[in-house]
Amino acid sequence: MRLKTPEIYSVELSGTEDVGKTDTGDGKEKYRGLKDKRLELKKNHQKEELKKEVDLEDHKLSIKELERKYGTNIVTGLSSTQAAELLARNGPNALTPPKETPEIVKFPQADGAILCWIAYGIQYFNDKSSSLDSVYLGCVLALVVILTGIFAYYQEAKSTNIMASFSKMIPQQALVIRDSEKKTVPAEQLVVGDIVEIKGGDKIPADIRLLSTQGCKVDNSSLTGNLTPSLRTHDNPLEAENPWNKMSTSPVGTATGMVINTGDRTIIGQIASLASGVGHEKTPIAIEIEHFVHIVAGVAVSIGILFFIIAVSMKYYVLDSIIFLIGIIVANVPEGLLATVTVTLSLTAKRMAKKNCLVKNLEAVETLGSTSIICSDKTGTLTQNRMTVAHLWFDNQIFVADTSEDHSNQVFDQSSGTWASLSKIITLCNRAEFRPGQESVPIMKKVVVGDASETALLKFSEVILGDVMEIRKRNRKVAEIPFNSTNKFQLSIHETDDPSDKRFLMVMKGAPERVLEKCSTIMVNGQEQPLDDSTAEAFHTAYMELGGLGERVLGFCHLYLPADKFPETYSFDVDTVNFPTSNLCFVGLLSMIDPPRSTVPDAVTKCRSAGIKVIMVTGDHPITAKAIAKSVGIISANSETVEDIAKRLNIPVEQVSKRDAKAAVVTGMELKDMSPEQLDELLTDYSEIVFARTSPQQKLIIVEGCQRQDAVVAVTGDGVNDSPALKKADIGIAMGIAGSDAAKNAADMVLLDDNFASIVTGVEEGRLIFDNLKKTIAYTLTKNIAELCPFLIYIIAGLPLPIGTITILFIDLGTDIIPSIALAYEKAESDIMNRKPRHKKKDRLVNAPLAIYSYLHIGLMQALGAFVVYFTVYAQEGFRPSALINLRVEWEKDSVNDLEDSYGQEWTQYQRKYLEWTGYTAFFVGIMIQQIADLIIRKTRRNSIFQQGLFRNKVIWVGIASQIIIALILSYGLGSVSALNFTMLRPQYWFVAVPHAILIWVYDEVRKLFIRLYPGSWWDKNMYY
Amino acid sequence: MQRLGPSLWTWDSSWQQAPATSLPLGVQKILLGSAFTSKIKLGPGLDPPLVLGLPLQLKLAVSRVVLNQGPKKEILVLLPLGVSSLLNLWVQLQGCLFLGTFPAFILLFYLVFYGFLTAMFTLTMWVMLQTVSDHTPKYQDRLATPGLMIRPKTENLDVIVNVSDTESWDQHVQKLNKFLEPYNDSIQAQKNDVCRPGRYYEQPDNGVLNYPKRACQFNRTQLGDCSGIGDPTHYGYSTGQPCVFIKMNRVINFYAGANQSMNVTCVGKRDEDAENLGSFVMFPANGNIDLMYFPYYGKKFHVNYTQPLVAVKFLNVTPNVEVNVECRINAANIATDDERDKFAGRVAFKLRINKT
Repeated sequence: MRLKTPEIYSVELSGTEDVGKTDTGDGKEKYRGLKDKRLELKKNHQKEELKKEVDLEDHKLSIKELERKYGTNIVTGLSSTQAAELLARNGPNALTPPKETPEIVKFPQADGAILCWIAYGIQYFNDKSSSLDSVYLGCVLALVVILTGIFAYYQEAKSTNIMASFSKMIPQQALVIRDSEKKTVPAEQLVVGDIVEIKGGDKIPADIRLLSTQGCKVDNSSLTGNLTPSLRTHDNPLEAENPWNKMSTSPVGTATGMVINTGDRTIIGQIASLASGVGHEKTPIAIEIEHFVHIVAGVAVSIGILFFIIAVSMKYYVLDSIIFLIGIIVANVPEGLLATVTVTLSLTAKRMAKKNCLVKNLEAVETLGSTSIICSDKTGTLTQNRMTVAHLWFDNQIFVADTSEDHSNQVFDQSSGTWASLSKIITLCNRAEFRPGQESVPIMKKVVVGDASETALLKFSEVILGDVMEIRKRNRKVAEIPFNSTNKFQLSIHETDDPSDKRFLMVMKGAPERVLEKCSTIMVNGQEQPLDDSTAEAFHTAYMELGGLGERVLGFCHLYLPADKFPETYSFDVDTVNFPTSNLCFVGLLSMIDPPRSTVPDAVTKCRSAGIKVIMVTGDHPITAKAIAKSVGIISANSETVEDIAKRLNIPVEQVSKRDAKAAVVTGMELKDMSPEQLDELLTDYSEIVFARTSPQQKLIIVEGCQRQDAVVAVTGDGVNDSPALKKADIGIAMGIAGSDAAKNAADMVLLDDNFASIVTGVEEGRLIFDNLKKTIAYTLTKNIAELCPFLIYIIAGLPLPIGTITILFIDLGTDIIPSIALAYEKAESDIMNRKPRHKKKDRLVNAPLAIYSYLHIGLMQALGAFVVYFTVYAQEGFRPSALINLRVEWEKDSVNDLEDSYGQEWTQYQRKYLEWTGYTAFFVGIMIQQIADLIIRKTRRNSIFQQGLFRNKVIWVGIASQIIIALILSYGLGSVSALNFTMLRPQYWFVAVPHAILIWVYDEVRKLFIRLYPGSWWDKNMYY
Repeated sequence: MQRLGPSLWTWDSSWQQAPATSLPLGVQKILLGSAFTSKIKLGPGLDPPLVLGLPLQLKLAVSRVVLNQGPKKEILVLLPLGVSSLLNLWVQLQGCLFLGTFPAFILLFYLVFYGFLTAMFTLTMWVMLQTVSDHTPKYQDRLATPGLMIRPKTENLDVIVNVSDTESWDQHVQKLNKFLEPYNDSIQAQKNDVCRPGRYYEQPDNGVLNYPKRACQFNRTQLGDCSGIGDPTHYGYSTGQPCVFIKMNRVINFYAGANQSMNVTCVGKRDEDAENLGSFVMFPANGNIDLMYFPYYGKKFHVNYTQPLVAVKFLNVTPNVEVNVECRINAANIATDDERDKFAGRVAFKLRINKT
């Protein structure tokens, strides 16, 4: 799976970042290993450490001081011996590999395994005096344990492999100066003090202190969460200019630096270990399964012990009683369920992978379904992650540009003369270029060399005007002042493409207020007009409006340099600026935004109706964040923040009643000052929340706040710094395209298309799987009673044993497996996206109605039906039901070879044994036939089967066919293998249980009918599971 | 626990029609309880409704309604008005119907439900038993080869005789006495026919039930030295020459021997057993079993049937050694070599005579 090819991405830096990312490779294991080491840390200590900013001093030191500190020389580098010494002392420059859990440990984790081994021991002990049956049973039980263990392990390993294949290790190389020579060494062998050279596109191999650079920028976005390369000078080492961090990529230029930290001591290493230190809570489905196991184990053990006591007090041998106990427990434990659940989950995981949700942890499939709060990133997840021209202002009018993914229809008025000038400025005053060799690629997907804004402008003009490069060629550039942060504008001078016009065209773009300062006229409808107060006012209104939309606004102006002063041969000098830069003609404004993905508003609405709260957490400016939140519906159209209300009513913010506001925009600064109680209050009081200007560390605080509300929290993230929050969340969702490996490793799920809408499909699948698991479990539990009753009757009434333990295993692990998996394919009964997420603590997977209905209603019916088959077989062979009561002791005696039946005939021991096996087979077939009915009724919980469609889920029919075929094979194919205790059953006995099967169906239809007719009634409460 | 609301009257209407039970209270708050609860427990937020300043309670039983208002108490008899009111009871009023703490409905439901299941089970069992005839089992495939068995019946098919220890064999003797009692000549003469030997004694129904069917005499005296009649040696047990009786399992309508004579033979299982076994005599002579005792018509029809026996008297078993004896029937239609059924047409037992 090569998922890394950036499609929507156009900015060069992202492209290289992707390539670089592959290298961290098996990071997952690495981080896991760190966990052990970090576990000692107390939780609160951890948190402090997390929230504390990273402490690095080296960026403040001078080069001389550095050389001294690290004992190196920036020209000659370290000597090889020094390097080897350091390597031996500090270890390789790699994150600590994991302490792998020995795989064998995972094996016997199957529930009840130990019990079965004890069973085996007892059986073996018992074997000395009894037949081989006990040994067979012991072997079968052991086999079951091993097989389910292997199976569960295999499934888990398979899903882990998906991830492993996802990030294959590519050995990373570094160019290092050692012994005054440039050498290429594996990045792992870097040591502190090494002088490394970085080229554009390289991944920084370790934390380095920059020594010299040539036009080199670095993208620290995975560390700081910022999209744009940060070049600020700052006291904070993460944001300072000269130290660069491992895993960052350098998109352009070259640089030399000194390694100051390696391996686990790098900032990345620290964060990674902190991330793995954040405890990962048990997944909701794991809790549910555990709850279910408790119920089943409780029932099994209590019934088992109860009957053990009864058996002992009825003067059965203790050893016999123990075997009864095992029989009861085997009957009660759904042996096949573990495998079924695993398969069901992985089927859904596969289905989700098709929908671009790659699930790393199988259990996370369901967690997503119970999600009640989604903390989503903005950039890339909700938005398209590329600047796009959203609005234009010229001729005193704001025009809207198309921001959809393909820019297909730009509908604004392009006839104005002003537009002609503006488009020329946009085209010419732009340094961004398409990377060559992409003729066949759609414009929006072409890779561009240049920064985000210029890229946006380039693509915008390319879409509207056609070949921009051609236009630029015709208007040859003669001089240029690139953008810098002091003058905040960019200027270039071009020849015009009109051969008769010998004037030069000077075009300028920049911060609108700066650009306007330099203008004395303004172009309206293609005509230059003096810039008076009213036009300036209009400009300001437009500027504020566009700014208020959270958009980045640029101003554009131009000037035709008079041909007499600036003849064709004039040489422009950008350093002395021998040309006018004032009294220009203002042309227009253009605003850009990273627009929301077109699928997101719909997805947010879906989340809403599904009762999921969507919280936006972003590092962006509050205004931008709010604008995006509004446009995608995170803040709905009619809800207001406190600030909005204050503005509308024209009163101070403090006077606004907080209850009136549904939405809130909270900045990181405000969040910092909040106590946990205040945060809780904020999270409960407002239904629509946007966190802006937050640091990734604060994300963790937000997640914890949400979890205090008993919510199941899904968090999206892409940066390294997000990984603690991703770990902490109930389900961490990493971005497949933009995400760093650290984030992907910490996450439970990876969104391959970075699209928020995929989360919603995931939620739907998660909810469906919960419902279907309920059905599967109900189906599996039902037959337990039918398997249990024989033992109870056997002990109490002394009938010949109706069904053997091995036969029970053949139901649990044979006929029932495929049908219970088939239920995973069942479609949803109603719109599952229109109900509230399930409450983690109240809506259990296995609730009382489910257990009671399965055990005491359907289960009992099944038992009765199976007994009818059993009694039929015995009666027709000569033992009427009345003769069977209390026959057990004589029946089982080996020495009794003339046991009299109801007709006076006498039976040898083997003849009886064979009849007993026929009884097993009959009981087995009885259960199997009724399990078919059970399977059909379990298709729905509320709707009638006929509403759901009997044939819509074809897999159910595969399941039914498998049930019948396995039973046929067991009876007719393996009927002669005595160890399996099956015999060839007369064909008519297969139909004896059919009336009971029909009864089950009818009864369940009646149940569902009443549930639908009387919602909320006593019936509904007690019979709906 | 919910506060009573107007919805009370949706159910109410069904019994309101009966004059004795009309409650001219309008839409009022009433506390409902089952008649089983002496005092209605009040949940949180559930205040007893007051009518004219006094709390009002309504308790429901199956056939009556008890209305309490303060000290006043009125018992209203509920006339059975059909199933619909009962049905309404469980579907509509549950939110309001306040049954104290005891889930009476659940009990009622399970009573009805399990009653129904029992009925269903009984019905299917009854239908099934209709397919089974009283006198012949429907299938006899398992009994194609009748098994052989010995008397005295012992726990592990071992006949151990301590000659000097009377108690060790007395129980065998008692069992044999009891076992052979129906074979007493007097009883046989009284109940059973004298049949022609060498021929099956067939008593076909020929369309009319021929009932009860007659059985052929097998007189105890036919067992000779092993008959135990006037036998001071107690079937030889007191002298270390025990008699063991071989009998063939009864199988209905089985024509043993396929019209040819058959007999029982006994041998030591292995060579040393054969040596230790010594000589023995059989009664009737040769271990013959006559055809006239077949076919067997079943307990119901063949009331006084006494199955033929073969007695084996072991004359000089090597004492203090366990001897494995195997007896089998030689009959044309009885296979005695079934690998799995060790008792098909044969019987193996251990014989041990302990002498001091």
